[in-house]
Amino acid sequence: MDGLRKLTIAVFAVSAVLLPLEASDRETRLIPVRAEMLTRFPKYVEWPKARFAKDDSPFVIGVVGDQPLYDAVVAAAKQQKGVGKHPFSVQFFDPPKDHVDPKWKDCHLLYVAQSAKIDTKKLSEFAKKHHVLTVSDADKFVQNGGCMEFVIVRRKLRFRASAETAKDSELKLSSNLLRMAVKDE
Amino acid sequence: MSHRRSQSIRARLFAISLFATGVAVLLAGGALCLYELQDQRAGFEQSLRVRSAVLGATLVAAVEFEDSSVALDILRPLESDPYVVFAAAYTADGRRLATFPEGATAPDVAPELGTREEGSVITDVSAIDDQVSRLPIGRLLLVSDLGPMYDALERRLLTMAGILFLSLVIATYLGTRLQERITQPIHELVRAAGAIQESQDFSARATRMGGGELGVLTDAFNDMLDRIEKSNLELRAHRDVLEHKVRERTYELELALDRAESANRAKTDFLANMSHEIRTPMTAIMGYAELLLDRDQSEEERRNASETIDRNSKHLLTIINDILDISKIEAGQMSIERIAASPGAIVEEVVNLLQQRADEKGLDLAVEERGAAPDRILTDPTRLRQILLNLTGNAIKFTERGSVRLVTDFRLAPDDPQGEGTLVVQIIDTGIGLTPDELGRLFRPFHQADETVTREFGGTGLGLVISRRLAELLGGGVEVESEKGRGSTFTVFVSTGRLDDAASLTATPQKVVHRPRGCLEEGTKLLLVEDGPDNQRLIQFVLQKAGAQVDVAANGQLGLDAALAAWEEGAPYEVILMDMQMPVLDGYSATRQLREAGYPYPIVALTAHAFEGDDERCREAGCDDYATKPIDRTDLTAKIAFWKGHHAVTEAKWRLEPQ
Repeated sequence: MDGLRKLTIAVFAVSAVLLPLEASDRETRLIPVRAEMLTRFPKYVEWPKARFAKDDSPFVIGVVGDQPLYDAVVAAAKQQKGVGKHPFSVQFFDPPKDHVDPKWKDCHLLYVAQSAKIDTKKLSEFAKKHHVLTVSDADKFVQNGGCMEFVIVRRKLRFRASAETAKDSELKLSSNLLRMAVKDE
Repeated sequence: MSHRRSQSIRARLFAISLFATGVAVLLAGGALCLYELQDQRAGFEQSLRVRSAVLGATLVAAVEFEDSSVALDILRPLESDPYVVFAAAYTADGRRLATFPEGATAPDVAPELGTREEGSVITDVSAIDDQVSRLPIGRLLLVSDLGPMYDALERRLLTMAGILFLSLVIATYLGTRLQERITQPIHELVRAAGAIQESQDFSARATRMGGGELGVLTDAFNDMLDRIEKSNLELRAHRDVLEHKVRERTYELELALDRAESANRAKTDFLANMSHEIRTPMTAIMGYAELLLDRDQSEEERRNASETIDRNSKHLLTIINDILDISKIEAGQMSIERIAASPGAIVEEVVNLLQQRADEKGLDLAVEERGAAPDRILTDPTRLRQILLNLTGNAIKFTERGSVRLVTDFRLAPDDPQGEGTLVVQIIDTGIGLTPDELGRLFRPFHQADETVTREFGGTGLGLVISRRLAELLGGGVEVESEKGRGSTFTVFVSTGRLDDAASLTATPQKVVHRPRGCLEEGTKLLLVEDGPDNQRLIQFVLQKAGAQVDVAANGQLGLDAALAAWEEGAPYEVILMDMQMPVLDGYSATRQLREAGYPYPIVALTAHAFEGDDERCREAGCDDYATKPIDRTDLTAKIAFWKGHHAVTEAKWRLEPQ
């Protein structure tokens, strides 16, 4: 597992250095990194206890509208196994017509791809209601009411985070995580 | 000595304080340093653990997301840590994620876990654990250098050494100052003791310096000095007193020695004088006696010789009597009796005895009684008579023309009419008198008014001395007033003894009494009882010459028989002269038997007067008076004249026992 991870990182590192990448190439290249990050975020976030029926209830990661990422997350989740005693459960959703899929309420973390064109405000209201950590690669996602947003800074995948929005959903982001977040001056 | 002294106290105190201070500072400083070292070390270790833990927890996300810039940011605060040389964070697969400060030579691969120490450098590698699973996800390397700490400790040690040195200096200074407060009083004591030892002056004192035990010690020392000084003064005073006493005694001894020598000299002089006084008349007597034995001498020459012998023998007798008297007086052996006696009778007797001599010189010898005088006084009649005879005899001797008067007076005791009075007899002459200088020497033995006096007037010069001493023994004295060329007045004072009613005063002053000239009435009938033929012949001759009719009895028994026979016949002897030392029956026994027989007429004892108390024995036997052998013609006739016609019975009535 360690060897695979090392290999993956090594592949990324080599490709990042050696290949003159296009934007789409870059996107492709960054998928596993995003998946890795998505599986690691939960460690630094606290959910209300009621969001877990039992001590060993699964931690549900929902991926909306990005099949490749979903595959990558599934792979990463296999590696990570879970958060504490909660095993990972990764689900894929097609973008719904009315922006919000009631099935999402089981998800603890919901990744919404930019391509799914989900209305962030509606998603935000839903997330608040059901204590869901929302993550997206859409522009101004955090600014529009999302919790976390992937950004690329100096060719490196980083993220933005809003502790306030998370708090509205009764989620608590750890200071270590917030320290990693990109700060907009 | 001063060196030893300072070594013994000052140096010792100094060493003690230095040692104590040094040890205390060293111990305290060492302990402090050690504690500081351990404390700092423990603090460092503690902070190292905390720092690793905090950094590890903080680095979790950075390591997790392999964000080296965040990791660097997290490590950056180590900048302010004085000990951290560099730090590095490693990922789970051992790659170095971040190094601080950048460019430090941290190993590229994560080192082994644990803490290693090389010199002052401590390398600590701790694990960074996953927040949820607690599994290691990375490593943190912290390399610290404790050099600064050790440097600080070293600086502290140096500071402490400085403080130690400084405190030693201060301790030394303070110790010296404080120790002066202790040593100074001791030095003062030692100084005072040394000064006293040197000067022996115990008035010196040690100055009290401060209180405490040393003050008390100084006080005690001074107190001791006080006592020593006091006892010294007492000793000195005692010594002075002793010296004074010794001087006094020495002076007294010298005085006594002087007196003894003077007395010795006086005795030698006295003996020489006596020798001379006795030899002079003796020479005359012996020489003229030889002349008398020479048949070739004419009647005129023989008569001259006899007269010279007579005169010289009388003088010799006087001298011997005087010598005996003065010797007795000087030896304190002169016994004085106190019996009733008539002062008038004694004066009369004296005048009777001296009448002849006065007549021979053509002097008027008179008795005057001034004021009231008692009939009888308690005195020693013999001594009183002797005094008056002496002084009156002297007066006659030194008077060529005019008169010698005996004036009697009597003074009562001022506060007690029955007490002791004083009989005063003044012997007033119109003789040659004395100069004041001669008066001063008058009562000294063997001193007459002048050396020439002896030659001209004869005499021993003892008479006045004897008279004065006797008068003193009789409770009075002799005073003299005189004017050269006009005459002298000798006043005799004699105590009368206690007067009782019987001794009534004669109130009427008597007129001047002139005594008849001193021979006996023609045919006065006398009995001489005497065993010695020479004395028989001599006394018989003398008395017959005076006009008496004298019968002689050879011993007491014959005398007794003759007296009683004459009494029975109605023609008693008017006076019996009784020798006391006789064979067959002595004078004492004969007189006693006569008195026992009731014989009433006067008996005059003839005695050599050789023994003490002879006169008293005579009186006890019943004699009325006594005459001393060798007999003096004038004295004997005067006594016979006095007693003739007196009745012994009447006389006996006078006798009172001595009080």
